[in-house]
Amino acid sequence: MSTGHVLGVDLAELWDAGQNHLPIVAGEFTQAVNALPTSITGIMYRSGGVGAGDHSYGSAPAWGELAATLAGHLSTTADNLMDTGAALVHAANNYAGTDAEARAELERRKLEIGTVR
Amino acid sequence: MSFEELGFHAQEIYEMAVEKYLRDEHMIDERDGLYYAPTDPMSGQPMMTEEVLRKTVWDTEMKFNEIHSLFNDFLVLPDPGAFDGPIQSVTTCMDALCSKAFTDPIQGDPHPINVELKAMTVAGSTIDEWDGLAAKAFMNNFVIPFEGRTENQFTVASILMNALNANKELWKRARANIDDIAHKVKSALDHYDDCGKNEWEIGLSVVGAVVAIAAVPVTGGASAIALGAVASAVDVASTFAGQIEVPPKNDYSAESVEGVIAKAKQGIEDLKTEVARAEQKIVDAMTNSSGVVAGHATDFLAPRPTLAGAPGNPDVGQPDDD
Amino acid sequence: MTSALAELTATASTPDGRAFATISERTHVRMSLEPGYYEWASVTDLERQLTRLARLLFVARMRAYYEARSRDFEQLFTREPAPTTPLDEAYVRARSEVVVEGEAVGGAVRISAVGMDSWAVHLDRDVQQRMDEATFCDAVSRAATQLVELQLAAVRALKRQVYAGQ
Repeated sequence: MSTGHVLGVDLAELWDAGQNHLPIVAGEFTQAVNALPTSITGIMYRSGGVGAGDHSYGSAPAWGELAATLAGHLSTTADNLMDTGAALVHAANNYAGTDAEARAELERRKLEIGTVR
Repeated sequence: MSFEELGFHAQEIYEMAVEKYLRDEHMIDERDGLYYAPTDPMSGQPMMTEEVLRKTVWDTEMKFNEIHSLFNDFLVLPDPGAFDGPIQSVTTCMDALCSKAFTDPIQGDPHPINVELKAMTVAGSTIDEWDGLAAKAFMNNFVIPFEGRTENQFTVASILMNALNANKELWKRARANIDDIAHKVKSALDHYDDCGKNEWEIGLSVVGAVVAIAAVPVTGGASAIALGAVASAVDVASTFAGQIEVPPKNDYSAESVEGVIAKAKQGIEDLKTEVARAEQKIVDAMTNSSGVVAGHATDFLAPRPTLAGAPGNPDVGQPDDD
Repeated sequence: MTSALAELTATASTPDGRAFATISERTHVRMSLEPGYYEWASVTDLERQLTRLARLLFVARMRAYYEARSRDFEQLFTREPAPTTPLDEAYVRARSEVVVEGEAVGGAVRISAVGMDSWAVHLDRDVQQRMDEATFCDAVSRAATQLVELQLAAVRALKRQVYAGQ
């Protein structure tokens, strides 16, 4: 079992994963879902019922349903990543317990690593 | 003649139909906007009274009044240019999901890697050193399947983007086809009364606009699954080129005003049928994919990690001894 | 309302260059002769030349017609297709039997046509004594114009009869 300095290094890595790396990934999924339109009814209107699907909006509702499903997957993925990240940060901050050397190494490394966002 | 002028050209066709019908059936001539009764060749006198002339003209105008609304169902159609913005947006979404340089399975073109997602690999190798149950579960259920799931999400986004592309091509061709019909109806009215056969063909290019792709493969999962998709005929991988429908050329002929108008209506109905058939491919693919995704949700979305659900008491275990 | 065909024009001349004709605005025919020819040609010569010219002008007119048709429908038309339906056959048969005649100067100049492929020009024997060249060409032009108008009217009536709303 790791202690002291070595433990501090491990905790710092865990902290980095939760504080920075997972949120970076979450941020990309958030960008992905923000870029994804979930409705195209605005551009699909036709006045005479020409086409298939909805009389006025054709394939727009079917498209929107699939888009909304994907948007849900992407935003849930982002949320799960952020929550997991918070858990790792908590673990890192609390795991050292009474190991003062580990705690000192962790705090020193946290300052070096910083926070990406 | 352009799509925007459809209403104006319905008016043009109406005026021509009335004028020529009056000439053919009643020998009433139109000159400079006025109608003239036929005159007796011997006496030079008009062969019908003003009242009969007026009534005949009126009845003919009523007979062909429906031409004004001939193209009505096509007056407002989706604007192909309006799809460019959403296509770009969904492409941005696709690009963000590239944990690797994924290839669009429908168009066959590669999207560059999103280097930001390498952070997942870094985080994964860190968590891999911890032996707690929740940490191990996170590795097995989230990190290891991450690329596969992300590629599947990329695939769904590609299906959405290519459906927009297909719509764009569909409405571009639908507009061109109704414009073509309007143009040729006018020409048919111009030409039916010459000595030869008045026949013409209309190629409904809308037929080939949307390519139905039966099965886009999805990574991993308990059993192989595939999603339905569509592509624009002008933007599809060559592997699917064989599925692009070749538009037939429909032949029409008419030797009278009524005949030409009847063929105009038939041409419009033929076009409506093909537009509906093309858009139905899009509806079917989206519906099919929604169903498959719903039925295999874990191929597209990881179950909520235990770690995420227990932020105050994460079971990370202990780190490996280095 | 003008149509594309209202501006249809075509020209023709006999191979020896002695006689020229133009058709414009769908039915208007103008004819002219090489200078001097009217004086030394015989009446029979003139009849033969004009008959030949009539056929050549018809061919030129139909070529111009198919070009106009090809433009208007954005499709290539070069000749009349063979009849495919019973109505087409009835129309083509009836059209081949249509006889029309245009004339001028009380019948001194007569041009007749049977169907769309046979023309004959008849001139009174003393036509060159009675008319100078300008009067003669004008008379032939009027007779030809009347012929084309009658032929067009006959064809229209025939189509109306055979196709009755089709």
